[in-house]
Parts: sequence; structure tokens; C-alpha cells
Amino acid sequence: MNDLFALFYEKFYYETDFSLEMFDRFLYQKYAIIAIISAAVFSLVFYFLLDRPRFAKIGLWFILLTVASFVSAGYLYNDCKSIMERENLDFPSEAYFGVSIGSFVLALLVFFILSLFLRKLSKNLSRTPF
Amino acid sequence: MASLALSSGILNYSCAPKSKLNEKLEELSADGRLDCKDLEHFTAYVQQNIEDRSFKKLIKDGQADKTAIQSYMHKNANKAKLSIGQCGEVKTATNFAIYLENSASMDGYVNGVSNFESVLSDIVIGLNYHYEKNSVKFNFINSEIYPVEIADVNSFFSSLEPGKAPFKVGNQFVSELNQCLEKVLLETKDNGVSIFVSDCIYSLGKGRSTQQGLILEENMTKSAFMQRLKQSDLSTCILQFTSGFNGTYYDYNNQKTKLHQADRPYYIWIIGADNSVQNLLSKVRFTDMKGYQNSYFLKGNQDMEPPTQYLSGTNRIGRAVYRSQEPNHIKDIQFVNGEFQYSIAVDMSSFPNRKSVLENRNYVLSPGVTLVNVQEIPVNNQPALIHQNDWQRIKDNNFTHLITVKVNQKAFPNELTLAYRNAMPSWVESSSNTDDSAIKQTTQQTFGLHNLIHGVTEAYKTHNNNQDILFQIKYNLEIK
Amino acid sequence: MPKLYVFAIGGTGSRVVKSLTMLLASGVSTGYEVVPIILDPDSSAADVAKTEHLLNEYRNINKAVAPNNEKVFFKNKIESLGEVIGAVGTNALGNEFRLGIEGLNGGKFKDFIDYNLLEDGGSNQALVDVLFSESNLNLDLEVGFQGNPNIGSVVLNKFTESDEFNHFANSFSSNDRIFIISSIFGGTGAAGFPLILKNIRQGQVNGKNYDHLRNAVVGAITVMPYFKLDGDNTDSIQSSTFYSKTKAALHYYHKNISESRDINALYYIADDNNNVYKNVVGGTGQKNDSHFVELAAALAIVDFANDGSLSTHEGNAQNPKYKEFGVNDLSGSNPVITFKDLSHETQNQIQLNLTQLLFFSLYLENELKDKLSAPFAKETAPVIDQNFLSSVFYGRLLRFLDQYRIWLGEMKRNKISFSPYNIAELIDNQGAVIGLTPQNADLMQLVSGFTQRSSIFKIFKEKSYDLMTAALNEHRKAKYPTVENKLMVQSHDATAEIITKYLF
Repeated sequence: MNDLFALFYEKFYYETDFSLEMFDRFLYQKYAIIAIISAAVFSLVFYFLLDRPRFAKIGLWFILLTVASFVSAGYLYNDCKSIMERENLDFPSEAYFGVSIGSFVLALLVFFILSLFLRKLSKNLSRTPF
Repeated sequence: MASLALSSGILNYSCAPKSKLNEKLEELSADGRLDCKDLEHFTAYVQQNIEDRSFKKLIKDGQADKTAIQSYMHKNANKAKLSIGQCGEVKTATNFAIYLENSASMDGYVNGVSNFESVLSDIVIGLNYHYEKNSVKFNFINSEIYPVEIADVNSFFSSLEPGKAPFKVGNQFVSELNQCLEKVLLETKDNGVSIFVSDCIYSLGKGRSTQQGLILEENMTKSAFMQRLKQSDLSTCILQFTSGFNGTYYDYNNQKTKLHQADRPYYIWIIGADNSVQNLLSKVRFTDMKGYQNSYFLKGNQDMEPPTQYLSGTNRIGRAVYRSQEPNHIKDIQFVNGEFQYSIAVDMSSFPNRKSVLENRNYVLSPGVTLVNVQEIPVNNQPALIHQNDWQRIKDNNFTHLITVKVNQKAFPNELTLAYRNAMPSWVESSSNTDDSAIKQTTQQTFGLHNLIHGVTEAYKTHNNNQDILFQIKYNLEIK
Repeated sequence: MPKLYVFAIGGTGSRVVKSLTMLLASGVSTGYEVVPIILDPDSSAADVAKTEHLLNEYRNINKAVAPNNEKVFFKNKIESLGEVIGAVGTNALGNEFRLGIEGLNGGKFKDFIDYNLLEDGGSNQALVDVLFSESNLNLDLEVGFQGNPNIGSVVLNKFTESDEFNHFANSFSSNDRIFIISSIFGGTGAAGFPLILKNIRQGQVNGKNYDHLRNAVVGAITVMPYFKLDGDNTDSIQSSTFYSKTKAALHYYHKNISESRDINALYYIADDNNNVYKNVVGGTGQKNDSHFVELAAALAIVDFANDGSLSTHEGNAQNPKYKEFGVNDLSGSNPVITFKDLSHETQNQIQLNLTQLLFFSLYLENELKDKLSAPFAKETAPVIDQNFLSSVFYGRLLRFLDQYRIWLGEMKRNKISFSPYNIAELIDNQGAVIGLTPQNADLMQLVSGFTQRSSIFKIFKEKSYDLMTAALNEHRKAKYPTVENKLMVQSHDATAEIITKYLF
């Protein structure tokens, strides 16, 4: 799994040095899972907790999508930075930023895909986002 | 909510996969220490599981790789106190035997007080300190071996004088270097280390040209070593010292010349099983002793692969993908201006030729590879040679040198092999001549030294499958 | 399904049929196919025209909805006599609900009876002069009998000799029933009711015997005065004469209907006549606001349809019933009827249904067009989309529901006021009610005397329209045969759900 996620994240940022650390510490896997969970939680909240007609707005869906993505990205940025700094490893902030984008995109994709399925199970939001 | 539980389980799993190796190590370090016994257990454990794929990295040639095991333990000891530096091999107490050649040509070194004497004194004191007193024996050697008791080290050597006991013992006028070497080699058992001190001058027989004579002697030296190597592996460390020489010098024609306070080279040979010799060299600092010049280290059963570590951030040009599970594999290489350069940290502590390993010319490279340089890693990386991130990763290992290599996009090799040729060092040539008749001009040289060392070198080369490769470093390379 | 033939005589008959139509639209079901037959010589009477129009719309909507066994709005089928007979005979009648009376095309009463053909000074002429006053004889029949049952009975007798009545007798079967609506104080109704009843019980139409007809179960409601007319004593219809006429008619009924056991169930209804209508004699001007009494009268028909104990043997009603309608005590000074003032039986019949239909109509007015992308509309076929909203059916439905709201508004404005909802009537500059607005955008505050049940979890109170949308979405996956059926059934279920969950 780590391999699979590494392939994904490394498309967004790769430096041998940094990526080696990320890989060895299984961080790609960790952050990917966080992103997936974040997307899952927010989409579940939307389609099941907020299952009322007044929330059937694409704008709200979009907000939750964005929040899930930012949460994933933000978590990665902070957590990764603190881990590396704790180990006295020095990397440029664009490294953290780059992989954060990866988490952002991953959460976005997962949220989107989950939405396609979860909406079928909701009563009032089965036509949101479309 | 089941998904949360599942994912935290996955997170736990992912944070540090508990391999069997890790578990075993934790078991052994439960008492807070990792000592030689633990190392033994661990090694045995790896040996038992030689078929297991997850143990692959600690296995070499179908055997538990002690070096890899040791560095693994270093890396994963965490909180346990690690004391496996001197484990294992030196199980039985080593016996040390010093053989001091006391032929007439050696008189000049003991006349008065000289560096020679103080070095000898330092050696014995060092040996007595680091090892069992009873295991250190001192001998004179010329046509026979004459053991001597040293009552008081401090005064023994400084009181040595030519023409007097205890220095004057045996037949001082018959001293064949090869004979001495043969005797010393014979006496060197698996648990022993021989320290042979001599001026290492061949005495040629009459009736032949110098060249022929030297070649003959050389062959005899070679033969002597080959015979001994056949029995069991030995390492030989030849150390060159200088000392003040006050006395008569006999040239190759046996002409006498009186030398007064001339700095003359002499040689200390340390011969024994590799780990014993290494151990001795690490304990007793010959290189710090007065008059130390050069060394040359030869090892049987060479062709090792020392522990290396690819450094992703030091001296790098271009990009590559590196995964710890495949430590000798560099993938997806991307060039900058047609070049890819990277560094390797190497543990060369097994090869005491500290100076020679720095010389580029001693390395044989696979085609398409350029050796940029070899540098010693300063203590604690101060001043910083290695990039901070890399240093964090390797600082607990015993890497001694940094090798930087480069490959070219045009002539890209799939395999990078860096072989260190244990060639005869340059100092041998510069310290050697084939005509010592004008000794006053060539006091710094030893007659026929080149042939002598060459003989030893050839013996080792033949023993090591006609190779003089001391160690190799291999990496697999792949382009993106 | 058996048929319930409803003879709606005169203006009152039409208005009661209108209320009945509204009840049926709200989902009330009688168990019979209702066949309204409107008898009113006033060919241009406004109330009649309105009722006819309404029935047409209802018929079309019901056909489009095509309900099966489900509970839904417009469930009960309404058809015209022509449609019933059409399957039997050679479509002699059209599809209208109002039947013409032969020979009645305006002109004076004396012409209708061919007075001029009577021998001048003869005994026949003298008899006629005794029975009918000068003004009677000169009455212009264009606009009905103007409160003269003596004239009405002569004219309406003609009806019983007509082809239409013949066809009716032919198609009447043993399980069918008949109900007659008439006012006791008017002209047409007072005459027509006993006449038709007599003809049915004779079981003989134009010489043929009809046993089924003779033994039919017949019910009737006779509506007694509930309003006054303004104006002076020059007007031909004086409301001051209402009581005296009522008394006379009741006396007649007692002798000729009750004692002869001609009727299975006779319903009476009346009210203090405190409200004053404009005194307009027939024509397009005679349109009075709807009144609660008409609604209650319509309930009599439902009651009659559900009463399984009625039967007739040998032309005699077995155990005939006589019923009156009542409500709980009302305040004397300000008599306003809300649901709570009705008896439990009445509440059960109309409270939920009328409220459902009102919610439905408000939802269609205010919300549906914005919710075309909601799951209930879009998710399963057939989809409710803009095409549907532009369809003929939907236009019809909206117009019907407009009338429904106007009906509620008029009943509120009237005296006695039927005001179960917190609404305000919209009035045009001619003083007619053209619609209503809820006093509160929240549907849950619409029913007077009831507030929304709160639940603990409702920290954020949802809009009532959203509750409705959510209830509609509950059924989003069910399959419906047509989009019309889908809209009606879903809405019926959704309104029932939210009303019973949050209100009562």
C-alpha cells in the first residue's frame, strides 16, 4: 500500500532525500489513509447527518469537499513537518507543501467518488451534486 | 465507526511494521543492554531463519552476515545500551609474539637511545595494557628464535645495546630475511599475532646479478607467504617507521659504511588472523608512534563488500528514486546536463590503509563510472561534509569515508562497481632502490624493498584468485 | 363499481355538488362512482356554470391520475350521465353534467303550458287561473322558477318524460344508489325533489317497468334556509317568504314522502340566516359565496354512501333514517367554526383531507417549481420536470386548486364563518374572492388551534416546505405508472405524513 500511495504522492513532489524519508517512515500510507478517512467522514456527514432538503445545495457539497481536502492537506503539512523536525531533518517548505497538495487532491477525488455512491443512499440529497 | 477502528489499526501497523527481526531485537534488549551474547543469539537466530525472505538483508552468500547484523543492531538498538564493538571473533585470548631481528645490520637502531627503542617499548606497553600480560611474548630472531623475558619494560628496550646481551644472542651474522619470515609465519597460529620488526633488507647470494638475485628473493618471499596462506587466512600489515641509525651499514656487496644519526627506515610486520590484527591495530595506535611513516595492509579472503549507504542528499547532481528495502538499487535516474552524481558512505574501518583508500588511482571502476573523490568523514561530521539529513540517518553507524561517484548519460552503465585494488602503495617504490652502495645519499631507502613487498603482494594476489581487489562496492542503476 | 346518481336540483344543488367535488378532490372516497345530474332551468346561472366547469376539470384530472387502490387526491371517479349511458346506448347524450329540460327555452310560463290554447272562459282556463297568479303566468322562465314550486313542478314533470330520464332508468342497476339535493325554500328544488322521487318509486318510465329503480336505495338532503336576500319587496324573490315556504314544503314531505316510506335516508340541514346575499334573480349575477352548510350537505352524501344498512323492498324503504347535522357550541357574538368545533365524526371526515389538499395546493404554488431537481421529482421515472409543469394537466390542476382556495376563502368570509385555517382572503375590486394567502409562511401554523409538535432534536427548525419536500423524498424510489399519478400519490402520502407527524 505504501508503494501505491508513494507513486501517487511523488507525482506532486519528489526529491530523493525527502521522499526516501517519507517512504521509509510509511508516511505516504499514513497520510493517504487520513485523506481517505477525512473525505469519508465529511461525505458521510453530508449524506447522512445533513440529509434534509434545505442542504440539497451544490454549494454546501462543495464547501464540505473543500473542507475535507484542506483538513487532509493541513494535517499532512503540520504532522510531516513536525516529524521531520523532530528527527533533525531539514527540508524546504515546498517539500511539505508539495505533498500536501497530493493529500488535497486525494481527499478531493475520494470525496467525489464517494459522493457518487453515497448519494444513492440518502433520501434528500440523491441529486446533489448532480 | 468501524472504519475509524480499522484505519487506526492500519495507522498503527504502518507507523512501524513489527518485523520478526525487530521483535527479536526487542526481546534481546529487554534487559537494557545489547552485548556480545545478544549478538551471538541474534546471529544464530538469523542463521536459523536463513530461508526467510524478511531476513534477506542480513544474509550474505547463504550465511548470516555479521557486519550487516551488527549495523542493524546499531540502527535499531533504540534505548538499549550497545556494546558489541569487540564481540565475537576474539573469543580465545590472542597470543602476541614479537620477533625482533637482531642481526648485525640492526645494531645501528639500538645504539644509544633511539626512536626505535621507544617504539618497541610503546608496543609492549600497549600490548600489556590492552591484553593479558601472559599473552605477550618477546623474542629475538636471526637464524633461530630466541625468547626473552622482559623484566621491566621501561628499561628493557632503552638498555638494549649492540654487542651486549640481551640484544646479542644467537648468530648475528647469518640472517636471511626470508628465513626469518618463514619462521615467523610458521609460528603464527590462528589465535596468535606475530609482530616482526626488521630492516627488511635482502642479502643476496653471490654469483648472480642484482636483478636476478632480487627476483630470486622475491619468489622465496612469495612462496613463503603462499604456503602459509594455504593453511589459513592471514592479514599482514606492514608498517614503515624511521629511526635514528648509529652504526655500520652493509650494502648489497657487503661494503661497510658508517652512518651517524641517519634516519633510516625499519619495518614492523603484524601478521595474524584478520580480526586479531584489526583488533590490535585499533587498540594500539602504531600510527601515533614516533617515526611512523606509512603502512600497507594485505588481507586474505578479500573481496568483501563493506557496509555502504547511499546518501540521497550529499553531493548529488540529478535525481533518483531510492527505497530502503533495496539498498543497492538506484532507480529512475534523471540526469542534469547529462550527468548523475551521488555519494556513498562507506565503512572502511576494516582496512587500515587510511591514506591509500583516499587515492583515486587505487580504484577500479566499471565502465561509464567516474570516481569524483574519496574523503574521510570527520568526527561527528564536523566540519560538515555530509548533508545534515543524511548525517541524521547514518550517524549511529560506523561509516568512515565518503565516496562520490558520477555516471554519464551517454555511456550509462547498469551496474556501478567500485573496486579497491590493494595495489602496492607508492611509498614502497619511493622507499626502494636496487643499489644501496651510495647509502649516504639514500639513507631513506631500503634496498630491494620493492621486490620484498611485491613478493608478498603477489602471494596474496594468487591466494585471492589472482585478484588484488580488497573490497568492492556495487550498485544497480536504472534510468527513468 | 356501483354508481351513485346525484340529482342536484337548482342553485343549492349545484353548490352542494361543488362542495362534494372539493371533498372528493381532497381524497374522500364514497365507494361509488359519482354521477352528478344537474337540473336547473336557469341556463345561465353562474353557480351552475361554475359547478359544471369544476366537474369537468375534476373529471379530466381524475382520468389522468387513474387511481387504483391507493389513497390519493381525486380518487373518487366522477362521470356524467352521458358517459355512463354512452357505453350502453348510442351516445345519445353529450358529456355534460347539466341536463336540459325539453321545451324549456325561455319564454313565459303561460306559453309553456300552452295557456293560449285553452278555451277562453272555459273551465280549464278557470282552474289554471285559480292555481296560478297573474304574475305566475307571466313569469319569464329564462331564469328559473324564482321561488315558485307550483310552477316548477309542472315544468319538471316534463323531465321525467324525457329521453334522458329513460336512459337513466335503463342503465340503473341493482347496486346503484340515488341521492337528491334540493333546497326547500327555492323554486326548482322544492318542486323537483318530490317529483323525481315519485317517478323513481313508481318504477315506471314511459310505460316500462324498472324493478331496480323501484327498489333503489334513495337518499336526499333538503336544505332549509341559511341566508337572507337584500333588496326590497318589489323583488320577485323575498327571503321573508323562506320560512313560510319551508313550513309548507315540510308538511308536504311528511305526508307524501316519510309516511309513504319512499325515502331510505332523509337529511336536514339549516342555519340562522344572519348573512345577507345580494338579491340577484338568476343569470350570471346569481352567484353566492360558498357556505359551510353546503359542505355539511355534501357530507350527507358521503354518509349516505357509507351507510350499508339501507335497503328497499317492494318499493318501500326498510327502516328509513332521518338525520340532522350539528356542531359544537359556538360563541354567540362571533360564530366561527374551526375544526375543533366540529364533532369527532366530522373532524375525522374532513380535517385531515382538507388540510392535505391545502398544503398540496400551497406547495404547488410556492415550492414545486424550485424543487424540480429534488430526488422525488427527478430520481425515478416518470420525472417531474419543466415539461410537466407546462402540461395541460398541470394547468388544469392549478386552476382546480385555485377554485379550492377560493371556496375556502368564501366559506371563511361567509356567515356563519368556516375558518379552520389562518388565512386571509384576497378580494378583487368587484368584491369577489379570488384567492387566499396564508397568514404565515409556515405551513404548520396554518391550521387554527393547532401548533407544530416540537421534537427534542430540532435545534434548527426546518422550513415547513422543506418538511414537505423531505416527506416527498421518502417515496422517491417508488414506481408510478404516470407522472400525474406520481405527483398526486406522492403528495397525498407526503402531506398525510407530515400532518399526522407534526400537527394532528
